[in-house]
Amino acid sequence: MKSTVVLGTFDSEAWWRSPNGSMLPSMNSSQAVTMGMDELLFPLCKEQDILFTRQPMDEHLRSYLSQLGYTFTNVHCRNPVHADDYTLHVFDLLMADASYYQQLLPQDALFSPYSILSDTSELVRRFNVGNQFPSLDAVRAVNSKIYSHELRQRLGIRNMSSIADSSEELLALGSELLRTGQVLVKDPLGVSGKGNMLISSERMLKRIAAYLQEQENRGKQTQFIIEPLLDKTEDFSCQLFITEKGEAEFISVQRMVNEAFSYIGSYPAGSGFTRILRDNDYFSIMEDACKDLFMAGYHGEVCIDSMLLASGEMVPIVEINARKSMGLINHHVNQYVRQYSLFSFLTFISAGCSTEVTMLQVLEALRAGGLLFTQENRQGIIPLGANTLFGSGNTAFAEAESEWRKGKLYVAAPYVSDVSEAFTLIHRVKDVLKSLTIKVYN
Amino acid sequence: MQDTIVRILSEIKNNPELLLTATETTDIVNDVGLDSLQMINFILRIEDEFEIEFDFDHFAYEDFQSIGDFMGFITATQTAS
Repeated sequence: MKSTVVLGTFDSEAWWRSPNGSMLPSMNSSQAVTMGMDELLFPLCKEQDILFTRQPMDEHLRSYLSQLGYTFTNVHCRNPVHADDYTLHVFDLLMADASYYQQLLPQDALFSPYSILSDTSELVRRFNVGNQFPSLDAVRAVNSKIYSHELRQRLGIRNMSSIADSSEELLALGSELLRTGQVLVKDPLGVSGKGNMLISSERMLKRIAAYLQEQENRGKQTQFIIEPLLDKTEDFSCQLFITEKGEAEFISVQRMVNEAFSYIGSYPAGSGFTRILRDNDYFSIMEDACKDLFMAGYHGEVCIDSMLLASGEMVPIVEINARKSMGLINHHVNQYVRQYSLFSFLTFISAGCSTEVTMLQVLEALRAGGLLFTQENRQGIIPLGANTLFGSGNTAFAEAESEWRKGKLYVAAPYVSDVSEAFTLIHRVKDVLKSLTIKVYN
Repeated sequence: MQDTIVRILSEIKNNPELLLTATETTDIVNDVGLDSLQMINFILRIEDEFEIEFDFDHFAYEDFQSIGDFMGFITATQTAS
């Protein structure tokens, strides 16, 4: 059986975004945490597969995962200067040391990237990759919220959003919408937690428009999606795979927990929820969306975000993520825990610490508290990564000379029948982390 | 001013406990743990509340080290405008 090289650089939208576009105000997040997320892709690996990561995976976590049956091979970037250079994405890392990795990685392997971040033709040639990828232009286009906006129109889905092509237009459209409620401004290539802004007052709108106008005066181009804040009750997403021939393969539906537009977690939609979607013709809309994506030149994994409103109305296409996704990762973890008749809730714990805490200490403390999932103990969590926990730097102020190290511990919390069991488990895990002098922020 | 800052922080974090626990020495980044989006929303709410404008492109970590430091930053911005 052919090996697959699983690899990726998260926060793909940052790589797709045009440097000429004006931006909503934002704070720098720790890139170390984002760059450490590549190891979260291990649930997609089979025994013969290779997970390529920027930094080496924590040996204790590797050992724990292998006891669970995750026996993939981890190859990490061998040049620490490259690994620490966050202007390089994963394809750059491979190409910067291509001769070495050509020897190391199996010939004719399949490559399974989290997302397409650059032109891959040279990579495919050098590594004799056994599969094809869409063009960067197509990937960039279909990931834009402008494409999702136009797709809703093409598919005849009620479309509440408008495109503002200047700060002036944003001000005019926003003022109109503010008469009836709060307004959401979205960067076309913004990602969860960044690039979305909720405007609740005329003053705030004018402030943002002025900030954008300043950038326009310096030659930047403005383009944002603007829409009324809808009264939603449920966020969910559909994971699909579009083959190189254009066939859409359904993978899963995941319900999402979001807070203030930031992603908190995913868990599989149950049969009752799926029935509601089927009754609303949701899956045929997903198929039509995949046809459109293929016509636009895309194939590969796609995650389509959707929501249910308080009125009962379904919004099937909120935005399209033409890449792998957290929902897809959870689908794979869920497949693993299904052998124990469990379901998986994938989430993270935001944590900070001013003294050194190792992954080994975290694993031991969880094990001692009966909160680490093992073949014998099905009542615990599965830690999914170590490099996101205390990567380096500071989440809000990367340049700060602070002793605080902040990060995220990504975990899968298994549950028997109701996701609230996973919430309770996470609560207990947070108490264990606090006992290690780790501060928990969420 | 301190009460207003704590109220806004508590609303943004959806954490009423902060109303009881946050003091002048509470670190906005490391104790409260605002992420980048929450920080921007916090700043916009503060601007709205105190009718001031910050320079988004020039925030310094020191200004957020404690609620007391941030109060000083607001006062300095009010004086300068």
